[in-house]
Amino acid sequence: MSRFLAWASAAGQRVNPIVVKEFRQAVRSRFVVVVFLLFLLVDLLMLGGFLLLSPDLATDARSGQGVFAALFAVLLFTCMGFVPLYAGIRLSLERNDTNIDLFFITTITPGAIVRGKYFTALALTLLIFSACMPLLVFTYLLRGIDLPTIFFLLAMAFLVCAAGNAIGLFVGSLPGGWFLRGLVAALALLFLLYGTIGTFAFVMEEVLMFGRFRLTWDWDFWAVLGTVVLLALLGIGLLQVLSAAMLSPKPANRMLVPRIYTTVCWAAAGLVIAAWCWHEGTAGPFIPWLIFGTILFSGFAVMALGERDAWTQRVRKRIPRNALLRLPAFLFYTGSAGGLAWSTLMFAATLGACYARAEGGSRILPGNLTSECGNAAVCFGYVLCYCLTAACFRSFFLKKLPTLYLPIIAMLLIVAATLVPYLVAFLLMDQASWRSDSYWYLLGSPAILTIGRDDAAAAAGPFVLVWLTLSAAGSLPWWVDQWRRFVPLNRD
Amino acid sequence: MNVRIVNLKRYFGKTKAVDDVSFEFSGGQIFGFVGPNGAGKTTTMRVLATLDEPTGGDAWLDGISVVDDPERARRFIGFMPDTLPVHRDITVHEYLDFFARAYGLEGAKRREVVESVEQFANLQALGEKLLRALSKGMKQRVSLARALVHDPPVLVLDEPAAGLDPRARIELRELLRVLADRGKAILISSHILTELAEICHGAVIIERGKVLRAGSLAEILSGESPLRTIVVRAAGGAEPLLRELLQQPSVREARLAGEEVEIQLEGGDEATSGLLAHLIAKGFRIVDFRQRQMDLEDVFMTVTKGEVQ
Repeated sequence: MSRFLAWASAAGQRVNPIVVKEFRQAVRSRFVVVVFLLFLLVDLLMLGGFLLLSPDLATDARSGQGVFAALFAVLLFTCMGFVPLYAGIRLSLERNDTNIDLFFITTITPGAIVRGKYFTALALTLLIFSACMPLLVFTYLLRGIDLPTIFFLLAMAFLVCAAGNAIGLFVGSLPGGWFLRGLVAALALLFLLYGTIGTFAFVMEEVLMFGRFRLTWDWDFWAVLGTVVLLALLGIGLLQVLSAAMLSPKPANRMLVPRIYTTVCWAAAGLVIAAWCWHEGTAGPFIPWLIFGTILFSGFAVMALGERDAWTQRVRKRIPRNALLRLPAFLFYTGSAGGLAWSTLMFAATLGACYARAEGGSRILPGNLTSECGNAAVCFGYVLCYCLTAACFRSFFLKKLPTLYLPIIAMLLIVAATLVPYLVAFLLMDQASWRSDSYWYLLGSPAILTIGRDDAAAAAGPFVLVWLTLSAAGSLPWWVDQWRRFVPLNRD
Repeated sequence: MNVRIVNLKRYFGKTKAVDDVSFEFSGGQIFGFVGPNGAGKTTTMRVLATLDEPTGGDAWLDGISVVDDPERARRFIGFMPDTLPVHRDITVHEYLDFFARAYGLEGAKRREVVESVEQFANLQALGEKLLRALSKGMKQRVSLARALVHDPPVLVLDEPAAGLDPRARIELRELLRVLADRGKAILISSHILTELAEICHGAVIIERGKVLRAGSLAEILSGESPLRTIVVRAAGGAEPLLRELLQQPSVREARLAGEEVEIQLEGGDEATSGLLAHLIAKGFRIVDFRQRQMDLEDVFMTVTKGEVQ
C-alpha cells in the first residue's frame, strides 16, 4: 500500500502542469459548477417526470428506450455545447499576444500545453458522463434497451465529444484578430451542432429504431466501427498537432510537424484501405478516402495561404544547403507557396492511387471510382483556382496585406464565384430562360457538380483547367519570390 | 552569466523599433535601460526574453543564442513584463506553484522554492488570494516572484516600479540589490531615473531604436559633455556676477538659480581655476564655487530629444 502511495505521489509530481492548473481553475469556476448542477437537475427532472407522469410505464416494453434517448440527447448536447466552448474560450484568452506568461515564458512545449488542455476537457466530459451514467443504466430496468447497447452508445458518444473537444481547442488556438477567430468559431459551432444532431439522429435511427447498427460479433460491423474509430483518432491527433503548431511562437517552423504527421497518417490509412480493398475485392473503401482527402487537402491549401512568405532566422538556419534537399524542405516547412504545393501534391497522390486502383480492374466499382476521381479532381481544382487567384491579388495589388488575410480572400472568392454569376443570371434572364438548360452561371464553383447533369460536369473540367492555367501563370511571381527567399542563412 | 546584445534590429514594416542596438552586462550587475516611450526598450527586452525574433543581430547568454536556441535560453531568463496578465479563478500560491511545475521542479523542492520566493517577495499573506483581486503593487510582486521561481541567472524587468507606492518602490530597490549581490545579471527599464541611478551599475540610453549612450554609470556621466556645470555664489548679489560671467569667453551659458548662478563652462581644470581667479581679481566676494556632477536625469535630458517613431 505504501509503495502504491509512493508511486501515486511520484506520478502526481510528474502530471502535466497545465492539467493541474486547469483542474484548479475549473473547480473554482462558477460557470463549470452551474452547468454541471443544471445538467444534473434537467436529467433528474426528466427521469422523475417520466416515472411520475407516464401512464403506460408498467405495460410499455420500450419505455426505457424513450427515456434513454431523452437523457442521451441532454448528455450529448451538454458535452458538445459546453466543454469544447469552455476549453476553446479559455485557450483563446490565454494565447493572446499580450498574455504571454503561460505559453511563451516557461519551457513547457506547445504540444504539452495542448495535451494538458485536452486532457482536462476530456476529464470534464468524463465527469459529466459519469454523473449521467447511473440514470442511463437505470433505463435498462424500464425495458427496451440492453446494457451492452447502453455502454456501446456511451462509448460512441464519448468519442464524438472527444472530437468536439479537439475542434474547440483548435479554434481556441488560432491566431489573428477577434473577427477572424469569431468567424472560424461560428463555423466550428455550426459543425459541432451538425455533429451533435447527426450523432443523435444516427443513434435514434440506426441503433435504437431500426437496429441496423447493433452491437454484434459480425466482421462487417467491427470493420466499419474500427475504421471510424481509427479515422476519428487520427483526426483528433491531427487537430492536436495543428493546435500545437498554432501555439508555437511566430518565428518557429510551425507547419513542419502537422505536414509530416498528415503525410504519415495519410500513407498509413491508404495502405490499410488498399489492404481492405484487396481483401474485399472492391475499390469501394477508396471512395471515402478520396472524398475525405479532397476535403482535407482543400482545407490545407486554403490554410497554407495564410502562412508566412518570408522566413525568420530561426527557420532559415535549418534550411538545407543541398539544393536537392531544399525542395522537400520547401514543401514541408512553414510557407504559403510550399504549403499550397504540398497540399496539391498530396491530393494528386491520393487521386493517383485511386485512379490506379480504378484502372487496375476492381471487380465491383471501377466505373464509379473513375467518376469519383473526376469529381474530386474538379472540386480540388476549383479550390486551387481560388487559392492561386488570391495569390495573384497578393502579387499585384495587395503586397502590404499580411498573409494571414489571404485565406479570407480565397473564401470571399469562393462566395463571389458562386453567388455573383448566379445573381447576375437571375436578374438578367427572364423567367423562360431561367428555366432553360443554361448552366454557365454555375461554372464558378463546384456547385455545378451537384445539379446531376453530365454536360455541365463535362464543361466544368475544361473551365477549371483554363482558370487554373491563367491563375498559375499570374501567380508565378508569387512562387518565384518565395522560392528565391527560401535560402539558408548566411552566417558570414 | 554574461549577456551580450549584438547589432540587434527589429523592424515592423518601415518602422525601425530597434536599430542596431549593442551592449553587454554581466552577473552581479544591475543595468538600467532608459529611453522615452516608444524608444524600443520593451521590444529589445521581448527579444532578449525570446518572446520575439529580431530582424537582424542576436543576443547571447554565455554563448547561448536567443535566436538559435530560444528554448534553452529561456531556462536562464526570468522575464517580468510591465503588466501581470489576468487569470481567473487562480490564487497567488497556485499561480507560483504552476510556474514551478512548468519549469520542472518536483516534490519537496518545488514546495520549498515556492515558499522561498513568496517569502522573498513578501507574499506569504497573499498566498490564498485570487490573482484578479490583487492591487497593482501586489501584482508586481507576484510577477517578480514568478520571474524568480526557476532561479534564473538573468532577470529582465520591464518597468517593475510602475504603479508602485513609495514604500513598495523602496522595497523593490532593496530586493534588486539583494538579487544582484546573489550574482544575477539584471536589466531593468524604468522612467524613474533617480531611483535607477541609485541601484544601477550601468545604463543604456535609447531613443528611436538607437543606443545613444551605453556603459557603466561612471562612463556615461563623465564622458557625457565637454561642458562643466559650475555653481557660483557671491556675497553682494547674483546680478553683477551673472553679467560678469556672461562676458567670459569660456562660459557657454549662464542662468540665475536663486542666489546662485549656474554656468556651463567650456574647458578643463585650467579654465575652471582661471575663472575663479578672475572673479576674485575682479573683486567678487566668492562664497561658493563648486562643480555640479551630472546625474542620469541630466544626461538623459541632454542626449534625448523626446522623439518617438
